[in-house]
Amino acid sequence: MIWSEILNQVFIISIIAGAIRIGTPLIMGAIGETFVERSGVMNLGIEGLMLIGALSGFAGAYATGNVWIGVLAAIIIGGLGALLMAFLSVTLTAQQAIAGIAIWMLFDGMAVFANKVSYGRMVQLPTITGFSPLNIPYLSQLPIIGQILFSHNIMVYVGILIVVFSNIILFKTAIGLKIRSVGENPLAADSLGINVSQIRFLCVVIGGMLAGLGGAYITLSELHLFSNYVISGRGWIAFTIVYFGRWKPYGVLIAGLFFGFVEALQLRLQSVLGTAVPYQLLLMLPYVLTILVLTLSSGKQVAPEALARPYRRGEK
Amino acid sequence: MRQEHEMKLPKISNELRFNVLVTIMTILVPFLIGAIIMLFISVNPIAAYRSLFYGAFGTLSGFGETMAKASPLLLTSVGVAIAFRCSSWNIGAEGQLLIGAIVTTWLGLFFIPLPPIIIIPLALVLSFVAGGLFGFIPGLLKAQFNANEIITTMMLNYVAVLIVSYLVSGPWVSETKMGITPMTDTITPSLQLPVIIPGTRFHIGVLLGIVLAVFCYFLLFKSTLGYKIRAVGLNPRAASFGGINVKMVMVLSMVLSGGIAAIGGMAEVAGLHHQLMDGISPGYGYTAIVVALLGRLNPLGIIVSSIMFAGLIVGADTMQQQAGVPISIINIIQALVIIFVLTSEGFMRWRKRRA
Repeated sequence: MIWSEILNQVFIISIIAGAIRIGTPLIMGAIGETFVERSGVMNLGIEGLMLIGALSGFAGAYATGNVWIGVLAAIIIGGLGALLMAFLSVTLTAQQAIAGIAIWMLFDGMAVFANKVSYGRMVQLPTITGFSPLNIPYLSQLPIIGQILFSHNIMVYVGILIVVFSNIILFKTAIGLKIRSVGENPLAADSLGINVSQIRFLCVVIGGMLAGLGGAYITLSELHLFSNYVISGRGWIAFTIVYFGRWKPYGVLIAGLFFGFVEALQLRLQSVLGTAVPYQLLLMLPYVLTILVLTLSSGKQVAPEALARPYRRGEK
Repeated sequence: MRQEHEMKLPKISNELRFNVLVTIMTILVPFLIGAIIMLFISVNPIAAYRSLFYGAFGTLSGFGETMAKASPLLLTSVGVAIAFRCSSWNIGAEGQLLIGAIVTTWLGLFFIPLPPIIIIPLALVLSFVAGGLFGFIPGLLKAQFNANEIITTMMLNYVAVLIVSYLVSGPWVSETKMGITPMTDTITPSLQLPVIIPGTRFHIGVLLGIVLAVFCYFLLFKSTLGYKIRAVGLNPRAASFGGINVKMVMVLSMVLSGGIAAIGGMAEVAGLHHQLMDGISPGYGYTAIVVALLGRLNPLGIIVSSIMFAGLIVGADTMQQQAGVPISIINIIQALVIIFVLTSEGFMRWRKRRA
């Protein structure tokens, strides 16, 4: 009885459409982290940057009534937050693992604090009118693929554009070559006259901007409200997606859709199965999957050679 | 005369004095930034910090509460320090603590009745084993497959929280107790740890923590295993050339780390809550990272920093009630402490290179 409910067309279409919708913020954050890691830095603070992005996006839209101001606010705040990470990891050449943990804690704490200070006394939970599905004329009327591909909110398409552009930037431009050479062999890049610190700063900030955007997607496109738990692990998952996607934008796209699919499936199963299976078990699914995927995709040969290694001039 | 004495001071003491000064600064500056944030929300920071200090150390019950909170913090931080010394970035102390709490609750609810002298050590050992296993998984995945342990331990934290949530709202839910959050029945009295100061919640968990911290100090700095752990942490390649089984030591550091953190969970259930419920740990495992780093990954230093941070958590409650500063400011200050520890290390590196 349950199987017939799972294997019908409506169910499958809604899950695939859901995979795209839920996968988009993960992809945005992961593309950002791809830039960061391609330049040889590992930013584990992405979880906190996504939460502060989610809050800034919401606050911007709530204060001005304009969703796009929210998007802009999230990108700026995310970038500014990442600037601190760049300072710690590039300028001070600190342990990147610990610097990332500090960035996560700092912006997580700031978001929770700012939420309490700004909206804590309100009787009703504040909400915004966020992005709504575009329902592209004609195309969205197409059977099956209309609902899967052409009925999303605009940020989903922005996400896809980001993937395409990132691939061009990283693999078809001079700056992309510089980024990759800094991540592979900073010493050689330095001797060729590439400013290692500058490139790394740039990439960490791009990473923060995209993490902020990914966070804002969740408040502006999905929930239209903010709570302290809107990210709850998506940043860590985005980090994993970079590994799974082999540090390539299209790989990240596929990996992000895969995680979106699992999340969508999990959500649908919760409603179909009801109390037959404890909901906690289904909620564990993405987390356990993350461990498995990370384990299977952590071969050393494809990761940027200098990943997470601080570069100190004159030191081997 | 005095000058002569000063001149005789060896150089190392200058270095030590400098280190102490830097450590004090890494605590003071974050609090100063915290004060600036308070000014932004028009709160008097002096009054706020006074209520924080008063709440933590000003009354006997407050002091007892601080010592009660120091117990899980101390144990998880010592656990974190052992892993960090090996450059295994275990941020899974939160989940490992919960596993210890689960095992202890199971013993206290469903195991055959035993006298305290048997069941308390049994809970200690079983928690250590379960937490060790929870640390073993990410340790093995790191050593064998190069899987980033920060992510795997973090994911296991979410899993542990969900296991607790499932147990306390499902199979272990109390039929008699009513509360906002679901909880289990009270554990058998023979597993409940004694209280040190009557009338407070200051239980022997913190003494257990101090004993274990001293033990871990000797383990880390005076034993062969500790030497190996630190050697792998400093330079795994060199350690490997020196004949150390790097993978083995890596996994072992995670097992020890997880086991000790789990004892923190054991002490929480047996000493403080006497039951399991949702949200039993308000993030001790994460604060432990800050405490461990501030204690310079030295178990003896961590004894001091954990009591300090326990006071911070207890005092933050009072500060929220009296001065209206949201508790989450503590998280900001904690993160800033790490950032200034890193900054001071960067500064010292720079100073060394210049010298």
